[in-house]
Amino acid sequence: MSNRNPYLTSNRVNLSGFKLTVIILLALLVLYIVYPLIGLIFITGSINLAEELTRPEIINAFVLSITTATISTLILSIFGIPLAYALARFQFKFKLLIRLVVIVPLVLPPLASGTILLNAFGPYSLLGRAIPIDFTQSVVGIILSQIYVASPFIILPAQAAFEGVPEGYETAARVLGKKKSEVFFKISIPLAKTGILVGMLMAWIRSIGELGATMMMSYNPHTISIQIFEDNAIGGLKNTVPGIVWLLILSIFALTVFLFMKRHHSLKFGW
Amino acid sequence: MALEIIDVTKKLGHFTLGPLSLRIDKDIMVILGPTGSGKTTLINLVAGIIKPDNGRIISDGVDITNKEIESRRIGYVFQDPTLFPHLNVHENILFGLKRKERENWETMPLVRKIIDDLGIAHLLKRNIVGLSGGEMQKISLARMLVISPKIILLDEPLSHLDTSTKDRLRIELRGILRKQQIPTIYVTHFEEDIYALSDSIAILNNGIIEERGNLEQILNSYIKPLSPSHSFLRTVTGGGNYISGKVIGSRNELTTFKVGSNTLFTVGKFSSHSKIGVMVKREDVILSKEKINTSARNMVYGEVVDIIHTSNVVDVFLKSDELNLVSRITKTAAEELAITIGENVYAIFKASAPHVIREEIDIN
Repeated sequence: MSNRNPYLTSNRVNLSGFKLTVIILLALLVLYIVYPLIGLIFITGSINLAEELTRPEIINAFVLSITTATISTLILSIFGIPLAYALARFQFKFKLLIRLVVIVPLVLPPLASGTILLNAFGPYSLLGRAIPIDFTQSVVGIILSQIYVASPFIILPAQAAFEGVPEGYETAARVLGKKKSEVFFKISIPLAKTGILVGMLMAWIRSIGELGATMMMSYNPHTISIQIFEDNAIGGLKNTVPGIVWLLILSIFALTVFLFMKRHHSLKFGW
Repeated sequence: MALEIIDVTKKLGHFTLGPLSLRIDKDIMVILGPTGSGKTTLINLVAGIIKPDNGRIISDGVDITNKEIESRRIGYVFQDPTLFPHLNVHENILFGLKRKERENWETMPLVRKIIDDLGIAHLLKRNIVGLSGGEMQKISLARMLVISPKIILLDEPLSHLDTSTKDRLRIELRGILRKQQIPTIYVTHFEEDIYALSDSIAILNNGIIEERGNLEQILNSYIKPLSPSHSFLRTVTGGGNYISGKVIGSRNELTTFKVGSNTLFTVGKFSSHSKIGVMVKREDVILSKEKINTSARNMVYGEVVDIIHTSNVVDVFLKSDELNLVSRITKTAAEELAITIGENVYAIFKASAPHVIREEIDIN
């Protein structure tokens, strides 16, 4: 009886039509991402993966990438989170200009960022001559490149997260006798937590994947990206498998960490 | 302890608040005004969330006009409870305390007492998500009371609650606020809040205090209708009758209370010798020239002191000993009854018509 209802019937047709479209689009995109990885499995079959994975230069490059990316992310957090807060909350002169500056590294191709960094920090640059630190061909160079390229990845999500925190909570905390700094750590940061963590994770992953700027600034010591680039140049695709596998393992790990953190909403800071 | 606002002005866009002066001693001032009259601006000035263009704000003898928000010791309850969603109930309540106090809160009699008075002990371990609107506002009240504020500010804290919760919490609120003996400003646009909560009243309109007084003065306006210049007050007090009386006893969910020589009835249970305040809608009061037998419990014999004709209804003002009542009847009914000023009539309403909004146990 009720299936004669024309509204109900047409509704059902619409819904499944929509669902079907979503499923087709989703399947195609997933297939596109997975297909190259399938090729990887066939190549993996023809090499001794365990031996390849533990090749010293691979391990060294991988550890170097993780270490430098972690340091870069921490430095970026210290500078980037307060900057994001300022952009979200304060009104000041040249705010628009700062917003533009923040996205420059996102707009510039990493290789271009690398050339201008090299020009600014190279051994014959003003800074390079004035400060007795090897800014290039060193760990410092890697970190400088990563910070430059990854900075928007932490600032932009953190800014959006702070903008999403209703100001009423901050006002209420101040009325309850808390100083601005206490409000920042006890209210603003915990409430913007998810966005900040997403930003930190993205900056970290971006730093690990960094190639263009690092290549210009610090080809040596090799990060994992440079190692893969070089392995490919020397021995083709087969040679790059261990680096890629390590990065796949890392991405699964990072995703797990992220999902875990997102689930634990009760995770508190500063209380 | 007193709060003084002296010649304060604040311009916000096209709106100007003040110049405005108020003094609140250790009691509750209800500031009534329509939306956009400057109520929230006024209390935000006291809290320090915005700074005045001119004038001074004195708390407890100290000029706090230029003090930072956090050093003013203000108990502010916002329209939305603004409970911190990442903290649970007891962490919210203790938020304003110092770390040491937070850790030893169970030994602090003040905190314990506030939690008991508000009846929220069973909620302490709960998360904020899932609490009812009434529970949230109680926690918000507790959170500001534990810091022992020098001034209490409430910005329509009941406006987002459903009617029955609102009525219950309003009665409790008066008791809790009275106990504090702290200068309190309660801003609202609901007429009932004047009767339910106030010791003194100020009417704010277009940024200016148009009138101020106490409850008695407002109640007198029933019998001596306000002049047309008091148009706003007239509209806000146009909805109902506020009747205040002493409870004689309760039986079968029916409470008997006395207003002067009149005995009235209301539904519900209230303790003997307490003082209750009820609202009766003008429309709920029936007029009759003869004594009639009806199921309605309340019958008041009184003198017609004024009759006011508005476009389609007629308000008849009655006085019977200490009781003032207004009945709103249709034009046709008024013509048929042919009531004149000076004659005596019966005013009739059911026991379910009075709506209790104030209860005071500590009656002398």
